[in-house]
Amino acid sequence: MWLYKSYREFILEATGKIDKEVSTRDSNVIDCGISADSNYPISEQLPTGEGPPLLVANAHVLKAPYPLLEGRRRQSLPRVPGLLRGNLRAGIENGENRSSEQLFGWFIPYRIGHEDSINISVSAGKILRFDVSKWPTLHDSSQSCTVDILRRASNFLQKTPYEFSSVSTFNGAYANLECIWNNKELCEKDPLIELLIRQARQLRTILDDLCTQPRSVLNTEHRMLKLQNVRRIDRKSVQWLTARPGRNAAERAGVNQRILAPKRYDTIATLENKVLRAFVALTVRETQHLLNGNKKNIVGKTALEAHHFRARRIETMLREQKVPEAQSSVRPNFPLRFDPRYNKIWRAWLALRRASSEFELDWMWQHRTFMEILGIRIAMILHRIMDGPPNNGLVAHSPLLRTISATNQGSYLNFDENIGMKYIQSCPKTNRIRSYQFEIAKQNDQLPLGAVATFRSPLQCATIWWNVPELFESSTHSLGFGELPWSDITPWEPQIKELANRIISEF
Amino acid sequence: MKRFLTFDFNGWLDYVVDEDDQTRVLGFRSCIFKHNHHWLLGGQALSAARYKCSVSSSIDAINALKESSCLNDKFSPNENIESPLASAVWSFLEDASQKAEYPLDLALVIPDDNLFGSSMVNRGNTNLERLYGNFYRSRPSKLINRQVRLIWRSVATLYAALEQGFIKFREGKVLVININQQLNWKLMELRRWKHDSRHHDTIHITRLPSSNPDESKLNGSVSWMRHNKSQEKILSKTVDPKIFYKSTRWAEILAMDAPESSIIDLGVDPNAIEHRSVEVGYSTKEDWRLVPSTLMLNPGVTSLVLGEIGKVIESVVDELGEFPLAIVIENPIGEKISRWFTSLSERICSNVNIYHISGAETVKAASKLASILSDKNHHEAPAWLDTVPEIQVEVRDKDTSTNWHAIVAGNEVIPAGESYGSTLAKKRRVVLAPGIQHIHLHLRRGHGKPWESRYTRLPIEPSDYERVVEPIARVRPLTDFTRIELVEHMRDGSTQILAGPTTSFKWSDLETEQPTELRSIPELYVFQSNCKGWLALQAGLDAITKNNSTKNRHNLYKIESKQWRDKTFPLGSDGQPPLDCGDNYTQSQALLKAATDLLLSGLEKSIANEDELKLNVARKLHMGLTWLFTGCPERVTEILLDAVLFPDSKAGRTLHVEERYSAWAIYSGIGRTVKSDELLRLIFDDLIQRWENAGNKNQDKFLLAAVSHPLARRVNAHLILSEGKKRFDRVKNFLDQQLDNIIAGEFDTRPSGIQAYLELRYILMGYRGLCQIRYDNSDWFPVNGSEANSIFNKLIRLQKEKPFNFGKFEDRLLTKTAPYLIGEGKNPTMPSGF
Repeated sequence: MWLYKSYREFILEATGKIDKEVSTRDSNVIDCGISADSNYPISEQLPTGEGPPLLVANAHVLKAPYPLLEGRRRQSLPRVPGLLRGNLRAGIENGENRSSEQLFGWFIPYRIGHEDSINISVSAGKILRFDVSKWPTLHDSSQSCTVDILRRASNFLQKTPYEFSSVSTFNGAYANLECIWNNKELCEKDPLIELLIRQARQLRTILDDLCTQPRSVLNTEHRMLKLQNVRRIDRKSVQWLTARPGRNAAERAGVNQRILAPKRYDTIATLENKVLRAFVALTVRETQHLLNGNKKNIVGKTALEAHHFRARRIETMLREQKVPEAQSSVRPNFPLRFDPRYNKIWRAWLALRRASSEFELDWMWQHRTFMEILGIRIAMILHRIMDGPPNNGLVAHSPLLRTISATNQGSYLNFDENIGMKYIQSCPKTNRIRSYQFEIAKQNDQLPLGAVATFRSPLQCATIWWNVPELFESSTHSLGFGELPWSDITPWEPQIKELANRIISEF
Repeated sequence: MKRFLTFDFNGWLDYVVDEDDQTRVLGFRSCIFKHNHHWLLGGQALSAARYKCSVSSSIDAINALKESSCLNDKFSPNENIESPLASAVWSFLEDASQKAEYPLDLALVIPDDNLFGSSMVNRGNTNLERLYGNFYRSRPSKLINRQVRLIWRSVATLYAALEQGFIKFREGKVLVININQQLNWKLMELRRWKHDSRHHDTIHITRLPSSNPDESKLNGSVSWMRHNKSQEKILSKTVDPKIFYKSTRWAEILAMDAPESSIIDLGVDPNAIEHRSVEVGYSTKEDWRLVPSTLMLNPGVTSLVLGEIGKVIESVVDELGEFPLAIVIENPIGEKISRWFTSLSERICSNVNIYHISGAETVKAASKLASILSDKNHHEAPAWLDTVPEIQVEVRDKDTSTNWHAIVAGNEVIPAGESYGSTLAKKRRVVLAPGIQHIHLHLRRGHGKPWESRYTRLPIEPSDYERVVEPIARVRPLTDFTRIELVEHMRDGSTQILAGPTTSFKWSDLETEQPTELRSIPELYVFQSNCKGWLALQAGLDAITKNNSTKNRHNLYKIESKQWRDKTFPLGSDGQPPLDCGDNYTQSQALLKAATDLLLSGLEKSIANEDELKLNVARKLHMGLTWLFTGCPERVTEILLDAVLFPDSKAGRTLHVEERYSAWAIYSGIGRTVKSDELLRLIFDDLIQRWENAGNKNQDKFLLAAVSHPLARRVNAHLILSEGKKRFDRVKNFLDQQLDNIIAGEFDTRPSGIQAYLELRYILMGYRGLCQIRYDNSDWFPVNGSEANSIFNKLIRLQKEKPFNFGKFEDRLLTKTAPYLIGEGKNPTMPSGF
């Protein structure tokens, strides 16, 4: 099992852009030294760079579901596409350097919040612990640009399958997709804000009503009450009373003249009000964050502010009434299911929890999102280029489907299957036809570990990598692109066009 | 108003009305394809199939639509089979809902052909119901509240023509022709219709029922989009024509017979490689070929279609009536046809206008119709009207003939999707014979020949009087939903649902074969109270009650032969006077009760005092009562039975049971008046046992009278017999022996000589009663059994040979009764009388 300090270092080595001797000297790959039969249950904190490292191991060393991210968001780590060792130094054992050897790579997530360490289980009881204190977080101001691009990429990928499902021809689908790609408003589009504004409008009267008339229940509690204050006695009281010495009630009440008696009182500390408090507390946190954040052009800001203050007022009221906050795993009781007011609150709480954590998940697995969007972007530009001349164009296209799983781990399209397309190009002079195939890589493809996509012509095959722009000039068989889309530093578009021209012009 | 995603899979140029209410082309002959457990639709499906090199496994949507209506035919009724098209469409709708701000429902345009328009029920459902059921059940859990609406293409086309103002809203007939993968035509009607809650009637589209395709020219279809054989030969040199047809949509594009610009206007690039490329070396090697644009698959397709349309219009134009409204043609075929319309209208039908509606307009109209159909006030202002199938019932108008009367008239219309309920009408009333335990009505349904014939078999509580019932129906067109209910007309003029284990029954649950009971169990012999008879009796009763004396009791009443013949009985089989006979009914009942109580008390008093009466006086002490039949108090029967069973008792001595005339009056009186189960058991057990003890061979006319009367008239007689096979056998043996005796010429000469005709009458009545056992224990006296056949043969031989004088009544009675023994009697559902 080997660990690369960052994806960047991994990909440079995978594409051969780092001289092997230099890399050995700088030791950018660490042999974790923990095997499945290690006696040490938890490793000491492994050093990392300023971003998540990448875990590599020989195929079948780690059995599913390992490696596992431990903690609140426990889940299996997603794999890096491809499985051939290629140029990687990882996987070389006993000095045998076989490039066709199969390796698995796993992404390690970005940190959320301010946690200092991340634990990864590699087998039962064997945990790798990473020091993540220097990693960027979602709310770092230095990451605002990346956050905007990531949000735009996520929104773009979410819309992509719907364009393909409902158009009659792929030309139409790609034309629509191009419009969405150029829509800068996708940066601003935050589902959480939309949800909060929607909830602010829909729950206004319900929240006002619940603030004045929360559901209460009548509870009975046995207390030591003064004799003159006792209004009713029950079996428990009589049992207590008969056990006391004395000839009458007054003597049995003792010197304090108090007896154990039932006392009934109203309380609002019920499960539904606990859920209400959890909902308003989460609303306060999220709206506070949005209102204090950098976003200035929030549509419906006034409604959001009103919603914030309303939620804060209810939270204060519930805190004063000593209603605790509900924990995440709540089994809904009757009022939460069938009382129209509380049912709406219950559903709103679930939706808000889901929405508030959704972008955090995107942040965790942002590498996968960027790799996927690179593949789609290349497909879009290739389609435009190939479809231009007469008797050239698309002959077949694999479907673009949305991921069914909620925990998509940064991937939005075609769960565990390839996205590919086939083109033909005809030469008017020779009347010959040539086929091309573009395919976005998935984890079990027979491609070098880390490859994003391949573009094949009958004569050659180009492998496409992400986050290695320095690779572009040097080779026609291995092409690298910049880290982020819509970026002016290493823009993707001209490079993709050049890639297409390089391969197609050979015909 | 609900929003619909409306699909039109017509097999040529498919359309969809999307989430933005815009009509879009779904593609030429859109198909569905299963990709990793996920059904894809449209362009994505075809391309995915080509990507996976499995074009042959893609399914044309039009074929999948047709298969959805007969999927369950291949499997057991309880098995839910997933419809591929339904899965693909719901997946499409789920994706579209993500982009829409409001919930979307599903509407499908369906061809108005003989597949979906047929009302024939197969395995409990019509094709239309199965199609709807498959789409309805296939809703994914997220879309469980979504609606499904099926819209006829013919209706949508006519609606589009009305919307565009081509046709004025007035009554008349319209011929609608849809040119798609098939050429469908249908005669539609615009009809005035008014909902009960509305003040004015308005014009509505009325969908006329599909008639038998062999007999009607008003609706039909012709498949015209065929392969051109000569082109197939050219193709076969380079590619497999089947794969070519499956993989490309070039045939449909060429069949458009329209300029390239027109096709591009539809949103389709006719030169796109995905329309005209085909993989050679299919599934083994990727080698793509382009179809040259010069290849014409369907040359002259326009002229082919025009020729077909011409034939249709020529054949149907006479059916359009005196004032035909128009001919509407839905046509995606291009521009040539519009030029042709002018010449056609001049040539064939100069008085009829021909209008052209595009496929996009049709699907848009279908989407609107779906919205109207889902409106909560749809039943008042319906999207269109459906014609209900005619339901008729067979009723015997006279003794000899039966006629069919419509429960639901064939020209009745109902808002689409609603059910129609019939009302009461006197001509449909059916008289139920007394004693029957099942109602067997003969019904038929349809839009003319061939009719679907069915028989009811509704169990009812048997009665000893005639009941008048009437069937009413609730029916929903083109579904299996046809329920028949039976309403009973009570004697006081009110109506109520006939009491029984089930109050109504489904058409599909009715029996297709005529039930055997109909011809093997005769009706009971009943008295229907008659006003004339009652008035005659009333005078006697009045005399008794007014004078508070039994002085005139001896001549109180006796039913004369004329009364038997004319059926002028004073009391019914229920022992009650007629309802509509001048006096108040309750007063008549009171009079009867008062008089019978007075007579009964006289009888009891005489017996208690052991009065020594003369023979004729003693006889008449009870005869006045026993001639009232079931109007006689039960106590009288008990006294008479007591006298028979215990001759030395007070009753026996007072009534002179040992004397033959008195005994005859007592035995026949018992037979006429016996009602209760206990007394019947005494007759069937004790009296017959005494006959058995006396030798088991004697001809006993007295006992025959006591036994056969209740068998022929009382409902509970066969119930008592059903209590044990031994009792049944005893009664049957007795009757068999009596029959054998009269065949052998042995008659009972008591009390005043031979009365062979009377003995035969009693025997026949007895056998009619024995046949009633077949309700509960058909194997005790089987229709095909040797015993029944033997008795039948004896009776027929007796009738032929006539060894003694037959009365007309006995002769007719034998003719009617004997066939029941062997299951060839007359249907007693509508009583014919004796």
